[in-house]
Amino acid sequence: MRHVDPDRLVLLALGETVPDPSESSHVAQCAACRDDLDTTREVAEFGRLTQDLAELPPPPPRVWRRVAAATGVSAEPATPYSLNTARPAPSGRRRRPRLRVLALTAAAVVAAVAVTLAATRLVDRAPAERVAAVADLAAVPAAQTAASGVARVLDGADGERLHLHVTGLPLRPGYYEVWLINPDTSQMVSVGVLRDGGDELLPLPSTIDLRRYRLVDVSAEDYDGDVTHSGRSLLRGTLAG
Amino acid sequence: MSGDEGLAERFRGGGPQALREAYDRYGRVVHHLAVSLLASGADAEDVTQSVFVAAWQGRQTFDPDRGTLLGWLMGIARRKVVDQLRERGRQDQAADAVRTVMVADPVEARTAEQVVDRLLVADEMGRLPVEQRRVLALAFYDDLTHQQIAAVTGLPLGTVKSHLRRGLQRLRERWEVDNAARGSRSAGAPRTR
Repeated sequence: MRHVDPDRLVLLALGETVPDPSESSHVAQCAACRDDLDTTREVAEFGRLTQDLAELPPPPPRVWRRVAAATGVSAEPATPYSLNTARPAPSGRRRRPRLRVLALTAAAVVAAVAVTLAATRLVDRAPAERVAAVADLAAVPAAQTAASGVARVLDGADGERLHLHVTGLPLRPGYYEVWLINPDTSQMVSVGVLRDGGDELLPLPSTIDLRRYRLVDVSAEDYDGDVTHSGRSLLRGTLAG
Repeated sequence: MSGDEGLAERFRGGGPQALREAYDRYGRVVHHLAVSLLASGADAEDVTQSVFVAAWQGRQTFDPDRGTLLGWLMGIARRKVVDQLRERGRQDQAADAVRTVMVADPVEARTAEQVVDRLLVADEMGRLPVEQRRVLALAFYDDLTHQQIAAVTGLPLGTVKSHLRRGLQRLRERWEVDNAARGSRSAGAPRTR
């Protein structure tokens, strides 16, 4: 049986395409290809997370003074160096990648437009409660799912609730769990389970700070007695008011 | 930009500017790791300082054949962070029971590994040839397909594909080497999650 073509493997790892049946059955049986794919996927996932690292601030000057004092080395600052110089840090707020995609290659992103439109329509059907914040939920590339959705924080008389509308989640033996994550600290709170229908209304703790816990995450969980996040996120989106 | 290799050699040999250069290049990364994992800013500064002091004093134990200078520094930083957390745990055991639980928590441990992984991959991204880096950045950050990248950059499709393949391969090699060097898990082992 033939191994997965290296160029195809890269596209699969990036989540740009899904394996065809012969690739799926090969990967299921071939440990080398599976490992190749898993590792490349993981590296790509870290690659995606490097965007903000170009903007890392240096430690306060006193730290170097203490290093110099402790080692007896005293040298003047050398030329500045920044990680990931591909992306000089833009001043001001972060740009929205999706908007840029549309601007750059309008014809190529019909699918993205369709997703955005679908999400907008869902938002339009808001119930009577006030919508305090909305997050478009997009598939995490590594999850290779066509699922998408929208999460809204509804502010009603009896407190805040998180409404989720999700479509395209695959049927699986486990269950889907909804989390709110503080991206600054990676701390997370489970807010409930997303059932098959894809529409769920989950009460939020009245004490939660949604400016911090602003990342909505849907994960695939197994019945394994482990209540922590499985690490397998399918959908994510950031709440914006 | 000068490569890590020259600096690594000079650092090991105790060259006069090498510590400062290493600090300029990697101080922010080490500090970021410490800030990400420790609750107190003062503790994070202490860790950053002690990492560079320990690295300088132990520079002869650094083996460039086993990994990069940054990978080695990150290994030291992880140990220093754990030491700092233990120290805090001893200082106020009762009040800090929660934190002790947190340290034992596999999610926390995984977060630490992920911060290190991200930083290592980011550093290697910065070393890729410009065009390769640009293609990967468009794939990673803008989520473009290879056809879209070709349209945006004007590069032939085949070139885009080969940049993606080679760039990812290099990130992966670096990551695996540094993973193996810091002994956190064997590179290429089946993922546990």
